[in-house]
Amino acid sequence: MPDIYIAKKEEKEKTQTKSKKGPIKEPVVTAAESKQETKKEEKDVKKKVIEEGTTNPLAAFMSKPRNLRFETQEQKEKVVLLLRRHLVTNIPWLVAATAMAIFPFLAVRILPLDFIPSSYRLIIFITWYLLTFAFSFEKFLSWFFNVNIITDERIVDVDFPSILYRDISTTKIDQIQDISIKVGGFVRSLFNYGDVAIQTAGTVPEICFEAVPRPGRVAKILNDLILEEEQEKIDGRVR
Amino acid sequence: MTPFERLIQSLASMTFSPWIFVKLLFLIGLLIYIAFAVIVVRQVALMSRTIDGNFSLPIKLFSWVHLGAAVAIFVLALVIL
Repeated sequence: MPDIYIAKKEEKEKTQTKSKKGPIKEPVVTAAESKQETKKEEKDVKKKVIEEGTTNPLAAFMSKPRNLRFETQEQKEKVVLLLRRHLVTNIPWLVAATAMAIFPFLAVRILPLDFIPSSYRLIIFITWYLLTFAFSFEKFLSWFFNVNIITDERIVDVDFPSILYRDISTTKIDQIQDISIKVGGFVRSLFNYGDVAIQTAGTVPEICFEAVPRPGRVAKILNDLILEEEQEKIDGRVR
Repeated sequence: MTPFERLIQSLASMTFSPWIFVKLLFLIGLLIYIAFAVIVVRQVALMSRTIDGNFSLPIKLFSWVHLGAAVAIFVLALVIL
């Protein structure tokens, strides 16, 4: 007998046995089970964030940072994510600082500075390096303290536009209306950093996280937190 | 010789060095720099209060070292220039 007939026979037998078993029953999901599932999902989001966590205080993407507190933080409020501008954004001022550090050695060789007394030359030399240090320190402070914080309750944007100004804007997670990300240009695409613009229904119409690493992941975490917040509202667990 | 004539004579015999003017400019500049360094210390304290993390202490230390260096250079300029 050709193989084709044997195969057809087997198929026939299979269909017969299926029809004997009757229709397949769909699993019934109860309210308690769905609640457990949502809780599990919430846990998974938190777990994912913890897994990515870093204890490096100079990281630009810090999830669940330890020993970090901010001025307006409430007691039960937990920091989920702390963001700074991507490390790559520091390269221009690092190059400038290096050039400033090298300049005196070149100036001594190129410029005719013999008419300046040695004591004045020494003071100029030391003052130049003090200014170089001040320039670098200022740039570092500007990078280090300009942070975006995402907590389980709200988002905080801390800006120090200059040494004498401080600008802190806050909005609650449930007031977020829209999240959009912008990653444009060669360097930004290469190092995967960009802007995350958050439209809010609060007094601050828009909060922008500028040049933060992994903007897609940030948007995903924010979306998860919004869903979590909505679930908390439904369950009546709002703080 | 009257006292007025003596004053005129002493002023006429005085040799003016441009480096004294430069020294004065340096000292004024360094004084302004010390004021700036004080503001940096103050601002770092304020920033650290806003965001308090593991790295706050070294940054505060750096700002104080910066202020100390500014004062030391001012004193050095006052002595050697």
